[in-house]
Amino acid sequence: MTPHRLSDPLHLFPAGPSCGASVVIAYIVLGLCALDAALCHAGQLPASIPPFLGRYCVSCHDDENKKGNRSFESLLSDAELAEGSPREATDLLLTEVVDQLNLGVMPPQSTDVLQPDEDQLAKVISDITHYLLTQREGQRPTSAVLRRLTRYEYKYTLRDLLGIDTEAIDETVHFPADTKLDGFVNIGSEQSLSEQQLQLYLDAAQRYLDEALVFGRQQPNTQIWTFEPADFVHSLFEDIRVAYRVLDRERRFIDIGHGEPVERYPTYPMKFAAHGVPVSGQYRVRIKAAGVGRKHPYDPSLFKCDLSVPLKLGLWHIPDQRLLAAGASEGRVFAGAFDLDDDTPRWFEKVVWMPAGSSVFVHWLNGEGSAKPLLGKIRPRYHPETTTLTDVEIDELREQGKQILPEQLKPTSHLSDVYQGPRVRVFEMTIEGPLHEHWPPASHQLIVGNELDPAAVDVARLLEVFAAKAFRRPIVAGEIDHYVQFVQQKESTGCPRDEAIKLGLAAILVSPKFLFLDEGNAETDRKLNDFELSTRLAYFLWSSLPDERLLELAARGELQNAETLATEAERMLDDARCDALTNHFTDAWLRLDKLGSMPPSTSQYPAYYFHRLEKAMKTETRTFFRYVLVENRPVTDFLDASYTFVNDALARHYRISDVMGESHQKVMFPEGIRRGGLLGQASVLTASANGIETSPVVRGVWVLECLLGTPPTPPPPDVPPIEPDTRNATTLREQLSKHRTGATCAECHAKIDPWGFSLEYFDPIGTFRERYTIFTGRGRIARRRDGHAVDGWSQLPSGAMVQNEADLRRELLARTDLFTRNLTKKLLLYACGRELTFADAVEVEKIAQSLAENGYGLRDLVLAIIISDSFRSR
Amino acid sequence: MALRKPVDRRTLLRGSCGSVLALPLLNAMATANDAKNVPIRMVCVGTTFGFIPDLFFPKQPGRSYVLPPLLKPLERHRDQFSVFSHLDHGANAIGGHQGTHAFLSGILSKNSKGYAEQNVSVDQKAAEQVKLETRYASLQISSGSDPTNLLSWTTAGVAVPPIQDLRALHAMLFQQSNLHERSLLKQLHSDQLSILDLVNTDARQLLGRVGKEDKEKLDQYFTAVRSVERRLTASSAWIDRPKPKVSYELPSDANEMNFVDRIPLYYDLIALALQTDSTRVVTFEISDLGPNFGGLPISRGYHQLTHHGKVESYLEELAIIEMFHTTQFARFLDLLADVQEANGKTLLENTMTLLGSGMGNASSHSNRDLPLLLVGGGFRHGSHLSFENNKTRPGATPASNLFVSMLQRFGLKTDSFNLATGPLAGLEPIG
Repeated sequence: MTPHRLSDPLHLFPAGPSCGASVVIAYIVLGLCALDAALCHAGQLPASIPPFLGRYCVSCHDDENKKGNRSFESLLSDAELAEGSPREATDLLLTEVVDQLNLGVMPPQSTDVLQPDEDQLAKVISDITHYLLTQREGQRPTSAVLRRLTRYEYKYTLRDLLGIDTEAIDETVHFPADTKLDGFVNIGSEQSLSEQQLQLYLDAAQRYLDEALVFGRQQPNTQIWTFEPADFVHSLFEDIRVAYRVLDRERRFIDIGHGEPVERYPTYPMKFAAHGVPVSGQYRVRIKAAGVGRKHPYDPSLFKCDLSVPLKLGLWHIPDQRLLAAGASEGRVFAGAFDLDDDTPRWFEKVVWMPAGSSVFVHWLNGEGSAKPLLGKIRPRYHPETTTLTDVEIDELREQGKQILPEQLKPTSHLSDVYQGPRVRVFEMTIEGPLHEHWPPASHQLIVGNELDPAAVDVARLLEVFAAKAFRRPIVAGEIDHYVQFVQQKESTGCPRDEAIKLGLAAILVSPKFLFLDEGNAETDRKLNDFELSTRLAYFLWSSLPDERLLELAARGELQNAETLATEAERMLDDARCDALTNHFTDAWLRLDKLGSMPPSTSQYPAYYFHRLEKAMKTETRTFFRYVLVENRPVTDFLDASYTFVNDALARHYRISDVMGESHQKVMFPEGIRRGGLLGQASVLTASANGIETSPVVRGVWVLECLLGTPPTPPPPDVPPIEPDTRNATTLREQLSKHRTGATCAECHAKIDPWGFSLEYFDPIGTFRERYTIFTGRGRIARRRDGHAVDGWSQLPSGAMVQNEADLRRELLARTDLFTRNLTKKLLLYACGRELTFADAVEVEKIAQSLAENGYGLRDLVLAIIISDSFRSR
Repeated sequence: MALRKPVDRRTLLRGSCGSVLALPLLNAMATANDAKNVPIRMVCVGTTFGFIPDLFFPKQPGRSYVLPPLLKPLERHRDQFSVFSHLDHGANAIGGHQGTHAFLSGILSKNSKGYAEQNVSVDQKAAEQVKLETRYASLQISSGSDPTNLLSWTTAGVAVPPIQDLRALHAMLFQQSNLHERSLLKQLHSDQLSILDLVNTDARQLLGRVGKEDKEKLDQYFTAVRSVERRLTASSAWIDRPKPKVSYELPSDANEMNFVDRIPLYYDLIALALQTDSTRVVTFEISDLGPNFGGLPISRGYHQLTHHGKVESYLEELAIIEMFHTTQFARFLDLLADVQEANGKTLLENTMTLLGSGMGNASSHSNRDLPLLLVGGGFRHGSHLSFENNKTRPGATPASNLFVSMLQRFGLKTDSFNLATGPLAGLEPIG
């Protein structure tokens, strides 16, 4: 069994034989009442609680029966409480009680169980809440444990510290994954630092500094390479292969007749690819292209690609020409997708960072895949004059002694001359670079200034300025003397001065003062000092360094002022760096980090790959969150909303028409589209499935954990897993009821499954369905036929009937307070980088309360967190 | 269920009839030429979805069991391996796909805090023993990235990232570096050592400032610094020692080949790494088929097939993949068996090779009753050791007892490993 971690209140009450670290008992969910701490005395239970528990709860939850491993006997009288059941344990138990009462789960809705009336319920919830709040007043949160930069924090911090594009040169992909606490990676107590990680920090620091600094180097010449259509084909075959790519007879363009996101036979400038770009740097790639044949004369049912949207051109770059091979896919870097106009050529451009030796390729992104089978159907039906005998047929005819006509060997016309189907037409491509707006580049200027001669650099000054930025505070006198001495000593032993400087800077990037967010010692003072606060704020909103302005305010001692703090937060929320909060908070809160870990089958859900839905659905949720944040929309939009953000592919996935183009745009849901809020978003529906099938259990747990913040207790580890047997396909409900034959299983599943049943209207990639799909066939794309009708009915533990996901939304909205508290807790957890304790409950309650009174705005919530005591304390 | 669908033998044996493998005779190797100095090696192969239990576990215990379908390819080595049933890590490694990574440790990563050595895996425990005697203390290899199937974990509770790139692996093992490259590398090591010296000072300064729990974090930092220093010093010593010469040609498009063609190449390189004593500990993670999955006569994805719901057509296709795994594993054993070493034994006998998974039955996402098969390494083999009668908890035999036996055989003087209760009863070392 897992050893207890006594510092962690979650582990005081193992739910069963296991007490896995991921289990979060909702320990600070509180009632709906106003804050009035004066009502009761610390340590004494309000008079109403013991009789309530005695009357409605203890018949099951006594020391003898101990249902759900909970007994309330110790709470029945004050005397026993005073004798010292530990206060935290009592609080935890009461917290669970109020939690279950709020959810309407307990007492169970059963005819033989006595039910309290609404007034009794409201009174006891209010009393317990008061009691718990009084208990917690005066307690302080335990301080955050020294936090290490997460992978993404490191990446953004290096970007802002060195002025280089760390998305393009991403060393963190080699870093070990950060340990997660329920999806959150920035929790100090959970993090570790290994030998491997330290070695990678060393390597990354040197690699990045080599990239950033250009001592003694002249600005490299910017070159332009121009590629004509003929540069994209091997040789000028007369027998032109429409299925792949075709050079126009007059060499004005090439047509690309095949393609899909993972392209086996990309189109690229062939001679250029052999050597690629001469040096690493930024390059501007421009392509002149159009879509042709989107409206064609052939039977539309022959085409499996969606021709209602523009043809799209995909642009990739690759560090090594071997990645042009048919089997390659990992290592290719997707640079962008362009919507092509029909027939009219247009220039598209993209600036990308490419390492030396890189080259680029394009293809038709939303095409047919291989066009061979398609042409096999079109050719004999529409263009028989272009067909010839195959070698096999010729051999057969010869064996049979039959005569072969000349036109059977050589066609009278070429397919490429008469084909009218959809193709991507490329007219020209240029690559220009390496680009430098100025010299030395921004990175060098940021660190050193304009000086290119290392001899003219004041090493001590350089190191001090850099260290102050990296350590996010002023340098104490003498603090970095050892770095300065090291650089000087390196130089004196023959190391070139610029290399010595780089080593000194690299060392700063491996220092624990850089890698850890130093938040001081809580034993000496609970409050974060100015610089610590600016760091916490910057890593909350930007996952990166505080900028100059924040550091200035901190130096002047003004940041502690709540008004200044709020003003700064507002400024930072509007900065593009705030995307970090949107992206990484939604990943953790909604477990979107799971997207891609169990990808759906390519044959059953080809659209997922053909239309790059994974990216599109993640972008939807992020755009939605950012919109709610920026516009200060109510957090209830997460539960139900009349709008969302989709691109053309996702719109079609949702059966919304008239959305065109790659970029996401705001749409209002048309009549009859059953989406709205997070539970209608394909990202959530995919992340809460496993790529193969859906389960009300998994999605039920998702609703309880991510939305309501009341996670169920995990199954006891000795329950044997049930092996599905679908040979005599029963309905999902029947299968699940089998799960629930054992009383212990049934007890918990009755609280979980009902939350998930109505989401059965969405398949593993979030497509709406009225019936389940049965997949058959062994082809590349599976055949589909209808199975059982979806049965989304369920009864929540509170007794409420839920017919479909619309009812579920209504039930969730009725629990807005639970949802708001949960979101508040998750944001506070993310903001402080530590597990929350009882004492944070006061803050959470205050924040959630004021939010409810002021329109539930998400931006208000973030600001309230920033000026809270929890956030400003160590 | 029997395997009814005829499987193309050429598919399963791809790589074995080709010309790629020509293991050179390396008996002249300095480290392996003395009969007494022939080292013991450890290879652990873990698949991400396990095996269909009915096709993997023999029905009868003891020596005279009938070879189940998936073990048929191993028939010629029957006296050289033991197959174990009804062994697992108990409640400590339950988590479905999220439990697989505990295969070689018996402890889930998320529960590792609080254990003396966190969730260290058996291969890393063994690698500590090897120290500086080989160029690489251990090698972690993966056929495709799958975060749920990371099998090697250090005593810091961190997964060791595996190498997937065949060309890079080949270069690590056999590519000679020139004088210039070597001096650059030495310079790099010495620079990095100086940097570690500097930042150690910072860590000490920080220590005076922070709270108690923070000090534990800084302790981790100090430990990491010391470990990197040790390793940099050790690998500096290897820089000037030439890498072994082998007459093995890796196909130039190795990384771009599909799953079926790549798997034998990994095994080839592992065999060569062991034979040349470049390392003595190798972990090979076989994960999903990846984007380049051609080559197998199947119509559905690997993961999808494991959700077979007992439907026959699914099981047949799943069995094709699993037969491929055991056939390739058998081919690897053939390679090892063909190498005679100075102590008169084969490389197969001098290597303990484990095949298994942290997944017991993917169809039910069960981490119980793990498939486990151990070859060679100086044990008395040839049996099916069933622990069915030892299953009633508490008192069940943990699967990690097998790891204690392996570690003892590897030379560690220990009776314990993570949650093990001792060496595995019934698995007798020879001599």
